Amino acid sequence: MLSAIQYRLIAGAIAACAWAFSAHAQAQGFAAVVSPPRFELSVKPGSRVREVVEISNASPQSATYHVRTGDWTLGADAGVTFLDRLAAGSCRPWVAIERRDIVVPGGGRYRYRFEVTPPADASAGECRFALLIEGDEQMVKAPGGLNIPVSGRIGVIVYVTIGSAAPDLQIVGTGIGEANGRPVPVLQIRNAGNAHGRLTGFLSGVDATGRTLEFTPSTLPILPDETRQIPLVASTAPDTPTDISYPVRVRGTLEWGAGKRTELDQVFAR
Amino acid sequence: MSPCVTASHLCLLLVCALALTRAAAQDNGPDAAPDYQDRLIDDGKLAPDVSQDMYGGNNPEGWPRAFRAQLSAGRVTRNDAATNETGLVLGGMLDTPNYGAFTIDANFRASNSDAYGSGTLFTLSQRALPMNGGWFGNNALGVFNTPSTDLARQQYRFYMPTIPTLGAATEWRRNGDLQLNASVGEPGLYTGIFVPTFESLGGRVATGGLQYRFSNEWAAAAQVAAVNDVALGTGPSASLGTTSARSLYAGTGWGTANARAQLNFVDSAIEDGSNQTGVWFDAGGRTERVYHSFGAFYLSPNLVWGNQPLPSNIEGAYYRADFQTRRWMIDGGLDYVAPVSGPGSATLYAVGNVRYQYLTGLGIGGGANVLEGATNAWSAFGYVDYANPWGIGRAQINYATDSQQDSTQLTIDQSWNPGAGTNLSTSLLLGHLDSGGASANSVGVAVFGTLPLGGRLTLSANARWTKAFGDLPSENVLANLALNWGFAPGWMASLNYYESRNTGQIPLVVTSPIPTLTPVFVQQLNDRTVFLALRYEWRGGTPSVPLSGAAGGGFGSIAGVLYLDANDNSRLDAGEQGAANVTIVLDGRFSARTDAQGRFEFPAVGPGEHVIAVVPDNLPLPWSVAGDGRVNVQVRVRDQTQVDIPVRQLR
Repeated sequence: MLSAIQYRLIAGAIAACAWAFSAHAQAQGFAAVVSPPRFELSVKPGSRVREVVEISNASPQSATYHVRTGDWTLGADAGVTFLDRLAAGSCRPWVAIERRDIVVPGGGRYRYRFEVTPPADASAGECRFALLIEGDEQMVKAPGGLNIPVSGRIGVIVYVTIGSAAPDLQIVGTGIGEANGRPVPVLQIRNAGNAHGRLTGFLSGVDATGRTLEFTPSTLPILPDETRQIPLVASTAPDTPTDISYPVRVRGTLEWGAGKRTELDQVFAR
Repeated sequence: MSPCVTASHLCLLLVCALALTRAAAQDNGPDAAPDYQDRLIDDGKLAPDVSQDMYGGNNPEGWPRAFRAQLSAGRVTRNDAATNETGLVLGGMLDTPNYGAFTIDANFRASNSDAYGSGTLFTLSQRALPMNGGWFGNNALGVFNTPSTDLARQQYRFYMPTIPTLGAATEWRRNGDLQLNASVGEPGLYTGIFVPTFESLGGRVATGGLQYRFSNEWAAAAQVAAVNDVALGTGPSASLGTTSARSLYAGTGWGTANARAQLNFVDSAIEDGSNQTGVWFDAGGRTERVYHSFGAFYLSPNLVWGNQPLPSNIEGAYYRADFQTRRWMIDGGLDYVAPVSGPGSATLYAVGNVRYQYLTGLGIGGGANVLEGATNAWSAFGYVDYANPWGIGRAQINYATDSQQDSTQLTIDQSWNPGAGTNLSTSLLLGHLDSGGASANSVGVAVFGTLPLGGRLTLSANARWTKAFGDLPSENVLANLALNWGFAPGWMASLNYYESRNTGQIPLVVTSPIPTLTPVFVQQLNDRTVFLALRYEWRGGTPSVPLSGAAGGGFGSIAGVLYLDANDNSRLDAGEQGAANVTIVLDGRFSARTDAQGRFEFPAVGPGEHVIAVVPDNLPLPWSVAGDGRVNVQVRVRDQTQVDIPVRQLR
């Protein structure tokens, strides 16, 4: 179930999208393009890492963007919730940004700098935050004559590995879940490490009809100390998901972290 | 410490997936701690690193429009002969909502070359002119390549040429099912080194074409081209004489989501009375994981398309199969080609490639090509791709042999991750060549990259150097350097340097004997080029979308009068008054209000059928709209549809 704030976030996103596209036709509004969409950095305690995020203004008019950091959480449904206030244990005090407001000319590109400096006594772990890039607030007319203030916002997730931090992913359960409306095998993955991890790898299997299938694990991040359901999406050809006749036996090698592998040989039945 | 990039290294993301209304933002709670204030680098005094777009102008008013101009000067030294060329390229675009997009191109070139001389090129084009009945038109005046039907253009193995022409052309398309095209003019050639211009070959060319789609699967097309008294060459080749020819293309195609087939026929008659014929068939289909392609062809000697050569004097067949999973990529094929007449023998060509992704960061692969017939040759290669802390690397070994030589080459490639806005790839090459009893070892390096130098100054480089030692010493250099400087909004200065020096043998490459006539860039063996260009580009305007229509689809308008039909005859008669201040709704979405005379207008409405509804709230009693107050209206492109709507007295 989505929480009330998530519903509002989604509604806000839809409204912002509709507003952004219609506003683009009127040559105004939020039309920022950001590259890259996320950073995965590493740094030693006491050292500094500086990076650049490119913020492009796709509209023909000059635009002002407001940049700040935020903490974030990842919900069970993989939805990201950004927090303006400082979360407990936040590493944002280690972060410095270039400036709070920038002006990007129409069609222009801004190379925006930020840096992370963990203290010399920082223990191995992972600093996670988001760079939030917002446009100016705009009033959108809604049915009934209401004027709703809406601002477009882009969140760029930043992961910074401190010292020797690394993920430690373990399969703690299996089952059948759902992905894109299809019942799919899922793995319960626990991260016992102190940095986030993602599953990749090549898995294959044979379902009840004898069809040979390939399985692709979702690349959702698994944060330290959390257990996350990772769907295995079946396909007969690249990028063409297919239904599965259960039971299905899935085998192969799961990859994660730097050179870490886990063998999988599991029968999934409904 | 590199930013995460996707596999394709393309990390652009247009996100509007998250937007917060003020209400949502306040859901952090009134009792939440105050928002955190970020620390600033150097107290926020870092100089902004911002670059303007490559275009000047930022006026969003009016129709989309653009203008560009480039002034250039270059010098080419080819085999010790130097040629100077200066040129001016002008271009403009105006995208109108109701007459399509107009573009204009004008090139002027001055040169001291005997081969190229000086020249000009001028083209005025109109694209996507909307018309009624779902028709769109494309028109060109000046220099263009003759239009062609989709079936003639979309070829799998053979390329159907078009003819550079100075004249007029038109092409009409209707809803994807019908295409018509025609052109007439004087054929010619594109000449020039840096600035293309048009050189006439004299004579006349006329073309025409028709394509009709019978169903979602089936289509058929015919295209004709006729040339009269067209020179076979210019400059030193002008003495080759002239040609006159008639050519006919006919084709039919069938296609579904997973399969396709196309039968093509060409007939050409040259003025000397010879009549030549070509027929070829291409088909393909997908099973669950394998895509099969196959075809056969018979192309008699001296086939031409107008004054353009076609693949000729060959017959044969081919087959290809591609198998792909996330882990495996395997493809292979066979080509058989034989001459229709004259000397020469049949050639068989076989090709196979395989790649296996052992881990996400480790893949291995290889392949082989074998040519048997007039020439016997084969080649093979193997490689390993590996992700490493600095990027992605590849180690590859190639071997090729024919009756003249054996060559082996080891290549170590590395694509580096230097950071946003920068790319860098390097190669190290080691080779060995045996040819005619002599041998040589070679070493080489290559680099390809783009380096922002700050501001809007960018250096791009693609350079390769190899040197051979032993019995067959040689040195090959290929360098292409470009320095681009965007010194003001819309302005760009470019300095390009190109050098190609080859003193050794061209490496043996084993390829299919089936000719394609696809335009191929021919690398000159000894070239040195310096090219300086000053460019300005400007754009402005905003695309407009008509009500209930699509951008570029054209529009008409709806105008009318809502009147008090005093005599109830459904006609607006003299003396009958308009109903003022009444809301008229178009398609349930767009509204207008009648003026004091009852007039209303929707000035830009997409073509097709629409519904106008009268909201009777403001009608003076005892007047009311007849029926449900809805009127169906047909709108035509660039037409005004008049709709007079009566309101009647309640009786």
